[in-house]
Amino acid sequence: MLPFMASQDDENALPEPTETLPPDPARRRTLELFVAAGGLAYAGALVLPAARFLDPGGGSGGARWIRIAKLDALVEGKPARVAVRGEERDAFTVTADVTLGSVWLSRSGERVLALSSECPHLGCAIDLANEGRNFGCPCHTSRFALDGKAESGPSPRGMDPLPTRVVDGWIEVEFRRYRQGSAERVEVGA
Amino acid sequence: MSRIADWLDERTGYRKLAHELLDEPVTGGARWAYVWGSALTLSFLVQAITGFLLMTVYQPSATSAWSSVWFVQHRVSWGWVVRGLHHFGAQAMVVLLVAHLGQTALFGAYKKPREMNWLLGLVLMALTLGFALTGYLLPWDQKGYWATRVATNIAGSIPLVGHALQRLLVGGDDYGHLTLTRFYGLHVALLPALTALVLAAHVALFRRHGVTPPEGADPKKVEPFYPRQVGMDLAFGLVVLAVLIGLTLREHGAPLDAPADPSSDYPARPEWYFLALFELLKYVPGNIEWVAALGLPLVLGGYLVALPFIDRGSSRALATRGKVLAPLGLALLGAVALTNRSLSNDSADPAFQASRKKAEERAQHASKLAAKGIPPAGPLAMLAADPATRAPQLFEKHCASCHRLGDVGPEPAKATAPDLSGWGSRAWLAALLDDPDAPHLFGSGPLKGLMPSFKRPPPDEAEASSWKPLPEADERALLDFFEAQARGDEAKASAGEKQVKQRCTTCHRLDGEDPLDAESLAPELRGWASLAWTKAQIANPGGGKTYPAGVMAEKLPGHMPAFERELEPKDLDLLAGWLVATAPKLAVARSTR
Repeated sequence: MLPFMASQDDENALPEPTETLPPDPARRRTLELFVAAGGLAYAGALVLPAARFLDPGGGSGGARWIRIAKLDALVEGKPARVAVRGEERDAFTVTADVTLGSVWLSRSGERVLALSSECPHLGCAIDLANEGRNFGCPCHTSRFALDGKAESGPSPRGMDPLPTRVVDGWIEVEFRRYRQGSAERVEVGA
Repeated sequence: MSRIADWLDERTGYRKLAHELLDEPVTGGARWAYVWGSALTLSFLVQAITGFLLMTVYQPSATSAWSSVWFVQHRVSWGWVVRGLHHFGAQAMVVLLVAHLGQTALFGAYKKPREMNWLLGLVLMALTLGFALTGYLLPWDQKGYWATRVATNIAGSIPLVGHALQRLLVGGDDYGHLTLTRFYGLHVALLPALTALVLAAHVALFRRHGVTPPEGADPKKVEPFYPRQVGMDLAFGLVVLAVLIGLTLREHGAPLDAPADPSSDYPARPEWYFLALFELLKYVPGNIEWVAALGLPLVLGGYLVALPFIDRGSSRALATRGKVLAPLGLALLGAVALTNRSLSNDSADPAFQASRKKAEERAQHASKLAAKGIPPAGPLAMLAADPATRAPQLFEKHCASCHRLGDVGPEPAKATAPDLSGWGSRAWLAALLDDPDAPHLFGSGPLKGLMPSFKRPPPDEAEASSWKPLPEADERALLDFFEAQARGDEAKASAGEKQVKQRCTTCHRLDGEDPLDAESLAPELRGWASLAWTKAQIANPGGGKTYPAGVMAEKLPGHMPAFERELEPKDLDLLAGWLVATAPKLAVARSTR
């Protein structure tokens, strides 16, 4: 379809349709060059904005501290899954108080360990397994110790720990996401 | 390379196809006059590509359409470029369509055997106008919303079928989600599919019959389509694209008005290519406006359809076809004249300019708010929760029938309550001390004649003989005092307070203490024009915190009502807060005496 698809060879092979116009090879060559360059320019003027337009752009803001539970509500030795709620910015909509994800919290004394419940393998939600002695992923049966270390299964790394702090008796978590499927932790949306 | 080409050609025969496409004979030689059709096709391509890109962000729903378009315009990288190209591309297509039609008509290219292709061209024109009509609504901004409401109401006024047609288009009786999804479905699926189909047929038929050289061209001079005509088509296509890019850069994309608000007033105008029809409607009585809005275009369309069958002579010379082309020329002239009239009417109409300005300010304000994030309930909910938007609306609704503020409210001659422009400022109070009964102050309301001037002698000659004007130093102290009150500063024990006690408390209350003249209706001066005073005044003027109960008496017709019965407490707070912040900054109206 494109005008510059026909090569010089084809032209010679074809019957000459011009009867009255004397062929002027130099002029024809210039025109062909113009058509090729102009066609490329036209396409470029559309492709460039298209490529930029489809670039999804920056992240959603990255890590932030979110208050999620009372310290007193946690029982030592019994990990609890807690929903993380906060403001969600989804393209043009900002929604207050949306469930952003969940974390597993384990308490030892005044210290709290928070582990993201997103499986580092392919992102399924991790649950307790083995009657509460391990964490396990229900999708591809990765197993993790209660401190988050990978024990068996396809997960490339242990569960992702999130920084925590206790403020006025409330547990706060620095909520963030990591890319799945790799051995290193690469933050998403930062 | 050539071996791969050979391999491909053996299996696809692409060389023959390319030959057919590129070496099509152009009788009479390549011409600039033939560029219109290909420019339209290229523009359609631009619309298809930019349209697809916009689809990747756009959401057709009454609560998110505006937000998603705002997001394209302000957040998506190069979003404004893509939107601008689509916006101006649509207008370019209308211009090119008229040019293509004009060239075809002038060259007599509709004549035998090309009648069918002329008709297909007219179908493409109708489809393009369909794109324009449906696309205008999609941003769900004030402009698209009101213009489309007018358009669908016109459709609704057609006898017999109108109501059903309107309901079909709108998706029910009211504008909403379904209106958008219907228009969107037409705009991105049905119309593009039909256009692609008819365009393919149009081009195929054009190929079959070839170009129509102008009368007098040498029919023996035949040139292949490639490269000279292709070069001309592309060169013109590039010029059109450059114009689109230029317009996009100049306007930074495309305009986006404030979110569609069914409760607002808006100076609705259609896109410029429908302005002639819009203007025409002003001269047609309402009950037959569909005759003008739909009938006239139909008559014109009917004439275009009939043209090849009316003008059947073999001559394509322009001189012999003047009569058949004249109606088209007249229609074009009429459209230009009406468009021009509409534009000049609007630019000479201060009321239109003022409401246009208001609409633009609202658009800018909405955009600024959207930058902070739009709630899921949509941009109207966002605006409703914003004091700077809601308070002026409350003022217009509840206060502006009596009070004027800036350029809102009754004309000074018709006001029945003080003009609040500058209220709470030094200048406003100076004007009051000078002439309390000026028409723009208390002169046209129920409190007229109750307060004497401090600068002008009383009309009664006996009183005037002993009267002295307020000395400038004392006036300055008084103005200092009242300016402080309005700011929320009580200015206790100031020189101004001393002046107030000396000169005002015969009639006025201060700190709730009754004046010497117990019957006086004059208001409390402590905290005058402050937030608390203003709130109390709006809630109930006769509540004792501002004026005494007597101001609400029936013998004072036209007194200010207590708004605590009409306004929610939160709206009352909003209105008072906004008024106190806004009014003192406005210029005080000049006395009209």
